[in-house]
Amino acid sequence: MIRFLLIVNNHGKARLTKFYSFYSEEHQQKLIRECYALVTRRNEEMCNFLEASFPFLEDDIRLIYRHYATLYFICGVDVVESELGILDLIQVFVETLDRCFENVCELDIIFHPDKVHYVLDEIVVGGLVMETNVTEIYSAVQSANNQETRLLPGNRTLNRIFRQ
Amino acid sequence: MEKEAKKLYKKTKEMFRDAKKTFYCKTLREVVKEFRSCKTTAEERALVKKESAQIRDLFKEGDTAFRRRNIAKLLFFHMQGYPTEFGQLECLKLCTSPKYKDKRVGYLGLLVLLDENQEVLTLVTNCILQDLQSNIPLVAGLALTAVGNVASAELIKDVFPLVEKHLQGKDPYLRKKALLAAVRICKKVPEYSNLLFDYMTQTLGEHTEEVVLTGLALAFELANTSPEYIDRLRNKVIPPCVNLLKELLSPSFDPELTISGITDPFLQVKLLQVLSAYGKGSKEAANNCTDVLIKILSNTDSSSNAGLAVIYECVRTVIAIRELPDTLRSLAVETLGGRLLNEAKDNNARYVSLQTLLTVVEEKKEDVKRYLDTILECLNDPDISIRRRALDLVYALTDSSNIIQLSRCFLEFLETCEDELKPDVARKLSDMADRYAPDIEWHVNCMARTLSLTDVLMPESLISLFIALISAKESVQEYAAKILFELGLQPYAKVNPQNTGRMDPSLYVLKPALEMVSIWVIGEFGYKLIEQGALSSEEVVNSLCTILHLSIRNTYDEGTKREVLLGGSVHSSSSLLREVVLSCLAKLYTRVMLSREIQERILNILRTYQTSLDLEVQQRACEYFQMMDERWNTFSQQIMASLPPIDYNSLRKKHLKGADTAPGANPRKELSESLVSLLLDEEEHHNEEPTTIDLTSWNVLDLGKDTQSLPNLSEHDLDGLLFSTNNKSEKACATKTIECGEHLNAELYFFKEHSPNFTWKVEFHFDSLVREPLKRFRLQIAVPKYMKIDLQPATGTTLEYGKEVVQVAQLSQTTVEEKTWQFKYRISYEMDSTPNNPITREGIFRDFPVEKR
Repeated sequence: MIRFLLIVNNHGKARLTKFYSFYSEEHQQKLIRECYALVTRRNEEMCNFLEASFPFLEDDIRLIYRHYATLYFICGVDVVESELGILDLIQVFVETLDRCFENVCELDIIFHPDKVHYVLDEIVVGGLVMETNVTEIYSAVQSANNQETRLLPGNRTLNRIFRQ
Repeated sequence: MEKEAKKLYKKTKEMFRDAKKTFYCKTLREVVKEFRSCKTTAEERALVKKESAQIRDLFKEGDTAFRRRNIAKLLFFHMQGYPTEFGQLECLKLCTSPKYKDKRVGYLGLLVLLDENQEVLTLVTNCILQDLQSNIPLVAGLALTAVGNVASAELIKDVFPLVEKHLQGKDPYLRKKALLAAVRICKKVPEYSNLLFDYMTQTLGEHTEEVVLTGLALAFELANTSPEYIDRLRNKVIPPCVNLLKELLSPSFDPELTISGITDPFLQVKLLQVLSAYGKGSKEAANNCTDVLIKILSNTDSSSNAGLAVIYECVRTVIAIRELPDTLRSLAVETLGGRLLNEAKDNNARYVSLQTLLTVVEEKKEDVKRYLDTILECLNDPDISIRRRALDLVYALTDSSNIIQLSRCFLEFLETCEDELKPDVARKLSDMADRYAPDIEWHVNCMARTLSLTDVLMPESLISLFIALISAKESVQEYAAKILFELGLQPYAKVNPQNTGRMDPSLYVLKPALEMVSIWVIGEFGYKLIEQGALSSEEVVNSLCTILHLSIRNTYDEGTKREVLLGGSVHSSSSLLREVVLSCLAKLYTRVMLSREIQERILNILRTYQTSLDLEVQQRACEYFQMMDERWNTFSQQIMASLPPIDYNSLRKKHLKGADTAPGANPRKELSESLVSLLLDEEEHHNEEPTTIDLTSWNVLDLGKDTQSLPNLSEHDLDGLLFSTNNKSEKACATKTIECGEHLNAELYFFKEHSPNFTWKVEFHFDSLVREPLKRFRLQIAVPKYMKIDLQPATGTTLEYGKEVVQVAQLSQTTVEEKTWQFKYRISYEMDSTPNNPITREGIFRDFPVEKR
């Protein structure tokens, strides 16, 4: 199971945080800081996996991360998940973001954290992978975006007024 | 008419503009921008405070126009670690809004700002129920996502029928979400899990590609929920999984799902995981999947990440199912060690190979051993993740045939590795040596070298274990003293004590833990070597002097390092070191025939430290100095005698037990427990010894001696020690009983306590009189208003025959004038053999012991 997913930039600023297991807010911030500290020490040739034990947590967590230009995508998982699988999942996530934002860059994620959340919610639910096909994810996000501009059928009267 | 309308329009527009000027709600974008332009955290904090106050005001006013925007801002603040609880209710309001736009933000806030433990979540139940029934798939989707992410047990009980409806539904988008919601249901409310079987098997059987992945997740979760389910579901799960795997391997599959030549690796990996969960323990299932597993192992292209992921998962599955033919299992190890580890192009592949070998090693130790050389090479890799894995693997491969070679590798590794790995390596070395050491000298040598290389980073439980080892085996004590002198003290022996003032401290870096142990061992057993002439007393005293001198400045950094890595507190190790040195000197003085000159030096040192600012050091120096006086000769000989041997085996057992039950548990906790147990053991020994010495002085010195062997023993531990050795029957003022019926006996021990007010501490000791265990045993006590009670938890909730349950209560009076001491008690427990559970007994107790204060 995926325990959390973090997007942190090269300077340790959190750009997106999503926790699937329960952590207190204090622990969440600690996790962000310490994961960043662990990951940032490593150079590009090293492998993308890290075993981390945090004194404030009971079980050990494996960190699987990818570094894209200015951003680290860090995933904390338990023992069951396949490391390489999660690595590919991060890639899927980034590819989907790229399609949704058209050439995604850090600024997109900074200013639209909500939209990034929407994308993530179509990929992972409750720490489990739901969908891995970029096209599927993209179309799900797209149809939800379209729905936003539409009005719900409950408001027929309003609908009519606006159309006039 | 038209003119008027235009006028009105203009006026409204102006009014709107004015309103906007007086109150303008910033967009998320603007807030983020401002936040980013903050230069210090103080500025950031001020900004968030200001914005939060504004948002809170708007919430209070019941504003609806900006609610969505404000929640989005709160999400941002939450990510930065600022408090956002005040927005939770607004999230719920957004969820109930008819607009999809609102709902989407509302549910997002629900997932991020709330957690399952919050009561607010119960308020959202109705809204989720309604949305689950919505005929707009996206709205139902939002609700299902919420159930899958944060649903609590209560919420699940309410929404379960509606989730079931979606599990049967046609829309794959909603079915996927419903299946993952079902996984959460399994986790939170296991009672419901057997209602989910059909949906799971149906999903696997149908071959609807989109939902099969989530169906597998449910299958996997069900297997984890109860082993019994595995047997029940095996025949329905294995065949469709095997078929689907076969299909995935055939080339005519949807190219859309192919990642670098591998068809849907995510699905393959998940299928293999499910196969390993359900394949275990059934010959038939094993036969069923043999072919497809062989095919994956031999045909999958290992040049890409995706391919590797599939192969590794396949190896794991093959090893997990013991019923598979042995040739296949050996092939799996061969693929792993021979092909993948050796040819690994990048570190990712190498890491995963090692990681997978680690899961295999228990089953196939001999097969894995063949790759030992490659694994040892990985110990030199610059990447710490890889070295960690390699360390674990080498450790797992150790046995009596290769212990000497591998421990040498580990010691070499210790010389160069990072500090953070050292405690772990020391732990491994200690364990390896303990299990497979060819002889005791080798064992001591290995541990001494480990200690010298890890020093303060050696976990303290291991240090006590090492000391116990030396203490328990008399035959090895001389050898230990010799080798520890060489490692710990020799470097300082040649320094001329007259020049210590002028020497450069930076040239001598103290290793406090190593020295502490060495000094202790020399103090205890060094006399043998000195008497034989193998060790010159002058060198010993020289080195001790130098260490005393260096200890003042050198140990602080080490202590900090230790604190950071092991989580221990710094009890100023330099003063501890000095205490140990003083004790060692005193022991040598009384036990060994020393030359006049050396004796003078020792006395001089003790004299100097009689005025030490450190109280503990000062006290020790004073005591020892007095004791060195000739008139105490007969006593001091006895006081300074060797400590009785420490029971190594029981300490080791405790150590192993601690390691088994809590791997990676707080090392500090584990160690203080073991220290206390060590002390306790010694205490017992002392009490057994016949002695003529006045008992009070004996005890004080005794504790002093113990602390020498145990660096970093904090006051707290000592308190615990004293407390736990209190003998209840001796110290109790009185013993009384209370009436508890035919199944048990209760004895009450009364202790007086005066801090801060007069308090009766009452220990309730319950003894069962029947063979049958008394379950859910509970004692309740009520006192009148003028009394206060502090009832501590009992030592157990089940009362078994022959085992005592103890519960402590502290009773005091809050009034000035004396009133009757009394309390009401109720004892309740359950027995399987009687129908009228629970059984209760009540009574009033007034029989307090009469006590003059």
